[in-house]
Amino acid sequence: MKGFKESQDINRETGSEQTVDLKIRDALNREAEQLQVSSRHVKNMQQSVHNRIQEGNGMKHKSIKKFIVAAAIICTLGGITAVAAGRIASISSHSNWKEAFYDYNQIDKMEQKLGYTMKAPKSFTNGFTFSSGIPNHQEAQDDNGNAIKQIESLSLTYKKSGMADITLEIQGDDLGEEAATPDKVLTYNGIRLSYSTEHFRFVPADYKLSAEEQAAIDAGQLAVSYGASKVTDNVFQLMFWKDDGVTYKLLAFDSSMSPEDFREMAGEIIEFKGE
Amino acid sequence: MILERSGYTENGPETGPSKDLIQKKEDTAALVRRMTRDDQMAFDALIETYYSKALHIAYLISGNRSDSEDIVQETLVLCWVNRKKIREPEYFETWLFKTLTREAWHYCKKARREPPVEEVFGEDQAGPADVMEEAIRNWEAGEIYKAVKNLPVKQRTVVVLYYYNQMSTKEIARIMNCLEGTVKSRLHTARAGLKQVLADESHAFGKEIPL
Repeated sequence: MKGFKESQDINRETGSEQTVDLKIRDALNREAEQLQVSSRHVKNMQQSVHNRIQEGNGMKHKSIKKFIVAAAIICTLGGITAVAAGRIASISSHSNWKEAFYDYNQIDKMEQKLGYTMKAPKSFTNGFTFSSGIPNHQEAQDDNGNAIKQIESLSLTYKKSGMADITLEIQGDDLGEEAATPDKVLTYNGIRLSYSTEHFRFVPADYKLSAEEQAAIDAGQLAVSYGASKVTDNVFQLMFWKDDGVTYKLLAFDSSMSPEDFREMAGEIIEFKGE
Repeated sequence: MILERSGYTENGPETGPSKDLIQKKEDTAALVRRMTRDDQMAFDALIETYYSKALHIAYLISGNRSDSEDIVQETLVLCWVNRKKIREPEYFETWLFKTLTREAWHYCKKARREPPVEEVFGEDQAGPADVMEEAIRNWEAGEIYKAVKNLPVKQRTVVVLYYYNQMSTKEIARIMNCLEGTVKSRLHTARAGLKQVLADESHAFGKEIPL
């Protein structure tokens, strides 16, 4: 795309017309860039489209927005097994796309709004770079569905070409999402880093569990989610820690990152002093 | 000036599709053929390929971020439901965008409202504070898009497909199911209006912009 000054240099007779075209094109590109798409969005869309197809045309239209909310519930929780199996039905979460932002400087505004310090680098040494952010509104409920606690957290997406997106969740309060039995416990400067993985299986509504699958669910090794058009597996990774009273979660779906890679990123977040 | 092109380039007229482009088209056609044989993995691959572009076009036409998700979802459902009717896999993209624009128009009609400006532009987002030029460009781009958003939906669709999606007037005519002359006419009218917006801005900033 030619810049403003470059476009001014174009021959005035024909260049002026080109300038108008370039400016219109630039305006549309800038607007479209505000709507960034992560691999998670694509997965959500694939899933929701398959759900709609399975329901058939006679079924009531289900908005993708609802699906994204449902996905957000899953993605913001360390205890995914618990959610899918219904043991902790007491935490819900929703996000509103109207609140999404793509400018890294907006994090400062969120910090002021939520009232606690957020350590969030613009980029990591491994190449992941800030892409977008969105506030999450979470609510903890008791067995009777009564709200016990409401918190607002911030979810930041980091991207790197050829890699699955990494999400950094920052919340000023703890809703007890740390895995009870993490796969691995690491430390960084005395801070305990709890690493866990969860295996998700999305299956059709009429799917019959095998004895093996049931055993894996009972052992907390597998989470099954019904309503998909076909059986698909996803592995979810989570690194959880607390730093100065603030809870941090680094999470990813189907990523090739190792626990050590997560630890390095967590270390950079812990060391972060501001841009 | 309406550019005649099969694909716009900044360096002048295109000499023809590149090898990469031809390969990409062939790969897409192969996926479409597999999809028509009920291969869901091929369908998923097509979603991955086109989701981002489709979402952006839906957003630019509808002017509404959340509606654009629904427009794309509906389009993709129709894509699967009507997969057996796709006669020319090589022209899948045209078929897809045709379905998408129909859905977008349907949503615009259903909404019967222009989306609030803040929904399109979001909260005040801080730009690079010390770069005046960039601030002016951002402001200018915002004004142009506001003007695009205020165009009648069919003019807006032509502008989005032509400038954002880099399609020729002929391709747009196929998508919109109208004569190429109609596309050119809509583009000419829309462009004249947008040119006026630029002229007004030039006046507002006391800056010389060639018109």
